[in-house]
Amino acid sequence: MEPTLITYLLYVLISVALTVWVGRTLHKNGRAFLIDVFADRADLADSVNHLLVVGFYLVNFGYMSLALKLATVVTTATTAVEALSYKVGLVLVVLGGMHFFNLFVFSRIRRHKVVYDAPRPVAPDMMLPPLPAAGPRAG
Amino acid sequence: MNAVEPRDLSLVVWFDGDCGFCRRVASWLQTQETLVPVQLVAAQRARDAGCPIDLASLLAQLTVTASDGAVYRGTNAWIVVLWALRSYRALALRFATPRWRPWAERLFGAIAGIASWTKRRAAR
Repeated sequence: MEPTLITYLLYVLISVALTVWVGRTLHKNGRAFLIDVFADRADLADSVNHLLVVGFYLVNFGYMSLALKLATVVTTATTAVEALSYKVGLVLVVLGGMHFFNLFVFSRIRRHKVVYDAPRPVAPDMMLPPLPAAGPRAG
Repeated sequence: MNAVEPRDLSLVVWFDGDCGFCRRVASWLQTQETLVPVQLVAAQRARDAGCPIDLASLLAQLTVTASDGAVYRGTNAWIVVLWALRSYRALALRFATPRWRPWAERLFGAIAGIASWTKRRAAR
């Protein structure tokens, strides 16, 4: 096999392994977050979690395959390692970016719920016996 | 609704019905989507509506009463009203933090100033 093809194969192997590892981590640890957000709906949490991970895989595998082609000709083991390292580095950076983006999405979803569920943020200035409802018309 | 607040919680905002600016703010409030029912009643009608707080003190500061008996005055009242609005709940939570509270006092103090100024001007 020519060196370029070996480099490509190694690149695909490493990138797929990394993507699957990050995707599984996200899937496993994102679930707890989402279960908290969709309090009584574990099915909904699992569904959102799954959809997020599918998007994550699509973006990463898409990028991986777009970035496959080497600009230089690989002849020696040294150039192969250099080329491989460069490509895998790019994949890692994209994975990192996507990972933080996912965390951002999770925390946004959660913050939204925290705000929505918040009780009155200030203490009353005084307490009266519970009032009868006022008339239906605004004055 | 949430588990912490009473399920049937509702608010009454006692605004100054003799103040055009206050009526304008009240009608804006009525266009907002609320998370908790908010009723706007002119303070001048408070006695008929069964509110035990006297008119003078209702007019002195914006007052909000909750169905569970809590009474909020001034800045607290503004924060509770914002809290009841879907689009402004996040802002209300921020205004209630120690860091933002002084700015809330200033802002709502200024709004109260505008209200009393327009009222005095109209009375002249």
